Amino acid sequence: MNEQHLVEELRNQNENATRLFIKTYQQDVFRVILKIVFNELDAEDLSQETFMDALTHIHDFQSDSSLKTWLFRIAVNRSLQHLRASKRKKRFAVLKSIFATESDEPIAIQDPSASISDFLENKELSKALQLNIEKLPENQRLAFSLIYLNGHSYQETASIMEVSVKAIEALLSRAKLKLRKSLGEFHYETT
Amino acid sequence: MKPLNNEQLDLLAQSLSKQLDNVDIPDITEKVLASRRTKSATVFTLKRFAVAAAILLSSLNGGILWYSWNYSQELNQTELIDSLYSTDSDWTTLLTLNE
Repeated sequence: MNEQHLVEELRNQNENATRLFIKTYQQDVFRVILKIVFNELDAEDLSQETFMDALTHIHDFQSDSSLKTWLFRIAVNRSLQHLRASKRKKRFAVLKSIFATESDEPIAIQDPSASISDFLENKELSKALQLNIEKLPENQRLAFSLIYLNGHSYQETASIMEVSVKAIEALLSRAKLKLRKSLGEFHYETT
Repeated sequence: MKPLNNEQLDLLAQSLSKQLDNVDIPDITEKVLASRRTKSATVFTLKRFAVAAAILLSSLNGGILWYSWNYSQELNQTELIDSLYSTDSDWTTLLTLNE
């Protein structure tokens, strides 16, 4: 079933098409959301909400982007709404990290000169990166997550976030600068 | 202490991404389908309720109109009778009311 046919069947509320649609995209949607919110349970709930939104508004889908990009856009917007709500309700927003460490404080990298294997195997470093990503401004966080954690291209990310590629480059540059600063003792070298 | 460079940040991001990829992905297909069925059923019930309410309201409205019309007729007749027995009424008023 090609995409256009699938969309038509979804508009006709065909249950088999709906099942196929969810099964085809649920993994990608879950991963995109997980790499933004960093919480499995929230990612599962938000994935369901994403599909419910998509099925409810399937009549609004226009073929100027692919169905997958459109779905990712909904997923990203849902994730953003969730992050904003979490910020507003801080007393309820003790988000349980998928990495079990005792402290939620950002962790600075103590020895970035360690060997690459040691460097990558250190779970604390990943935790530090996750916590520092969570501290980034919304758009920088999204751009970093979509490109660095989800492996999307600049063009795809621009399409999902509905901004220009140049804007993505700027957001990513600022995000990387902040992360390097917060993750280690950053020395800005001027030439 | 050496600063974290771009390459190390890239490697760290890859590592985090791989760890997140290891998380089991739940199958949400049936949950979404069930929610969708519930939502459709709720919408259907609400629509039926709205239709029933509209019928009830229009019946009520018709009843009120019918009652108002009857009452107004009754009022006219009462006014006519009152006028007949009124001392200051003249034939012109009576004729107007009678029309």
